[in-house]
Amino acid sequence: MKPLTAWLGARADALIAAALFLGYLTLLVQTAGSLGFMRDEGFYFSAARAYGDWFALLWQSPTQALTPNVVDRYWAVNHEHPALLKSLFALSNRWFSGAFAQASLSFRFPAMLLSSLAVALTFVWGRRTFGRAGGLVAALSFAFMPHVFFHAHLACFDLPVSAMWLVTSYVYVRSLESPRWGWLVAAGLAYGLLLDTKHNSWIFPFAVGLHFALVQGWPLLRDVRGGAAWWRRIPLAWASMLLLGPSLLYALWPWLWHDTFARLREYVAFHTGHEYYNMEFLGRTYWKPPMPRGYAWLMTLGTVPLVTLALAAVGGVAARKPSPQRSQYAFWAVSVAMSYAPWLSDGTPIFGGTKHWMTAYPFLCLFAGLGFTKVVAAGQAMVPRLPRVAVATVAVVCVLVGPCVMTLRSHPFGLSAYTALVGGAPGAASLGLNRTFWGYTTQSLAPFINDSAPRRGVVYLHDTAPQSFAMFQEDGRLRRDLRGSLDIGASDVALFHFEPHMSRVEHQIWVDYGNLSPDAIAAFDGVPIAWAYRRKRSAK
Amino acid sequence: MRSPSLLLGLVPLLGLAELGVHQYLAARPPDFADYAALAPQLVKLKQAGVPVVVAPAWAEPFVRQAAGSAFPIAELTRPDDSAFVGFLEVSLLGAHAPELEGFPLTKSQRVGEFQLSWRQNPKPEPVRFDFVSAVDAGEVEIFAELDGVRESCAVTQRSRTATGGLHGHVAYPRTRHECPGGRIVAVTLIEDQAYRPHRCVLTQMPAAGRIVLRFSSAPATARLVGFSGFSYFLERDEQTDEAELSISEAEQPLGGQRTAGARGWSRFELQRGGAPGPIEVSVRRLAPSAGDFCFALEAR
Repeated sequence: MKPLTAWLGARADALIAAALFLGYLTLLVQTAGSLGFMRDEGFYFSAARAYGDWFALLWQSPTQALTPNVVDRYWAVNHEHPALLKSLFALSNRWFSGAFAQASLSFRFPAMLLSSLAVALTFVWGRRTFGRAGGLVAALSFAFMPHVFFHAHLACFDLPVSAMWLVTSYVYVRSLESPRWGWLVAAGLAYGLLLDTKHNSWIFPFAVGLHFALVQGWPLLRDVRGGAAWWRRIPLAWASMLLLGPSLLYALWPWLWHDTFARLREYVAFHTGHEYYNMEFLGRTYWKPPMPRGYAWLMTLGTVPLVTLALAAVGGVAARKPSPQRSQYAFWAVSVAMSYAPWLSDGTPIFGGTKHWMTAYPFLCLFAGLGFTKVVAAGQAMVPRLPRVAVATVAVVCVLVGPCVMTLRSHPFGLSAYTALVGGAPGAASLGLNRTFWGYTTQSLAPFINDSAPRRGVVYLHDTAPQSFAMFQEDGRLRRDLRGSLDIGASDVALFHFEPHMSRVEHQIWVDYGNLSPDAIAAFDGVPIAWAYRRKRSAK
Repeated sequence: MRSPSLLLGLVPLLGLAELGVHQYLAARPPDFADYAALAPQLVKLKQAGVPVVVAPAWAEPFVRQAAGSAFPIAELTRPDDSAFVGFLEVSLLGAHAPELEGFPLTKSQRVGEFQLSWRQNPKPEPVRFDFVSAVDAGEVEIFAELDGVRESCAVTQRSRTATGGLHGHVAYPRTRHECPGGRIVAVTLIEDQAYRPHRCVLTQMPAAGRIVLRFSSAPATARLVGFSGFSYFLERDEQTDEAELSISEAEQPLGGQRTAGARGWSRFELQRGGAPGPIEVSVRRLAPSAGDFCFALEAR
């Protein structure tokens, strides 16, 4: 027994990290079947299928696959986003589709892996910095943010880019502490993968630069003034990231293999000049600048559990005190600041809700973990008779039970989930905060559709992408004899996913169906999210 | 006295308090069974000409689902609130409709999870003649006029209702007047600047000339109250005037209204007072890019 106990003791943290990884992955896999498909997932499913066909061709006939026109034919699909995740979706679908009960899960699985990796790495970094209990609180606070849990399921890029930002940050900070070749090369490779994940990666160098200015600015200035070798302060990882990062992006994104600079310009132009979609905020629909500057802050307050924010605030204050970890605390702080920085401009679109700044959340939770250690210390001072482990255990339960319950209850309506600070989902609806977007709540209306649509009936999809509808059918969530359509007039059942600017769609249904009463409503916490109408036979 | 830093020890309790409040807020709204229980009472208490207003507005689909007959389309998509003698407010979670704030409460009654309140309009402006309903009922002659020559726009039910979806045109109903050149006049719905629906006369404007709607059965009243607009979602960036609506009675001009998409659903008033006679509403295009114009008109 003793050797086993010793073995477990020596590897406790690795085992906890593994348990967090596997536990979260299992939870995501188990709950994915009840979560519908977002518009964007539909587009990425299509892209992944195209890329998967190219991988198959590459395997069978490499010469043919590598000719420029063949590369372009397969990789032109959805070329406004880098290739890494869609390539992983494609390979996962090809290799593992037989392993899952639903085809969609094979596409979603890589993003789930990365989301779980982010949870585990948050623990690892927290454990390394301020201890096991704090690390656990940091990791689980991140895992159990309702919007994080929602996005962690999806074959999209938002949680993966949070994970890759965290991985790159961790490796970079480790390379600063011990500039060995391993960490230096890893920093470059990690940044390359981050670049190939999503364009949030463009902000990462600013985080690195700001961190350097905060930590090394004054010493460097002193060196310059004193004629010392100031360049020795420049982190070697910068060279690695500068060389390996773009190289890896190029290598893993075949669309860039030809007309590279023109296509890079197009990629940048697409995102810097992205069109403004509609988004409701405090009762007003925004579709063009100026966008509300308070959007990111209020949405964070309204969607991240208050206890997590309170702990993060405590941690943030504690991090200001001099300590050996100050450099990494500074990195956490600049990661949070840089993730939110685009929304300091009233020209930055807000259509994606909270997902665009989720790169900040692991760091926010690391601060929460740090704050937790201070809270436990204070708690123990209040009740000195209780053993520290008892105080910590009670505190862990107190700070995590709320986020866990709120998050699990929010499924599958993650985008509709709001905290008590804004009155929960009903309060948010009254305040005029966005209830849903992306048309994924079709899943909640699936029983009604399957029961009420006539044989070979037509379903008006509204905001659900046709590719997503096809996946509903491939998975067996919707009847395969049904046909999805974007023509209300041709439909037997019409869906309506609520957003104020989309009300005109419901008005068209009223006129065409001659009926103002929804036949089915999908609701979350008493708030209607999506509803459906069935055409009465005489009305067609 | 404890140091303030010791109070940090109480932060975990915030987690429990937050959870408690969250669970309370989530469980508070009525459920489907509550709406179903409300429906028969609401239908019984609903009077014609007294629209139902749900507060908060987000709960309206539930009430519409449970008690559809309490929402006649002409009331649900009314041009504004000024014509009605009163409103029946269905309130949940203690909410009140902000648009009824100035309307005194005359009666209130609890029905299950809901508070039903009768609110009186202190200054109702009853409608003597609704021109939109007249078009719907076929009590109108419609012409396309070019260089003083009028061609009749015949009513038809041959076509299927056509809808444009989110980014497309408003619903073109089956019952419509078809004018030369394929343009139509019909009763449909457009959304205003708050994306609320309004029932109105869709008038597709010709590139040249005008569309004329002639109403012979409007009774004599002091004034006409009109509303005009485009689908706000489609035309909300259009700042310049896109359409002009002119009204005459017994061939004497009463006035008109110019409309731009960015102004949304706009109200206007015209005094009558002259010799009573047929009322003609003319609509002409001011901007080549203008979409489907829509108006409502009431004799009050």
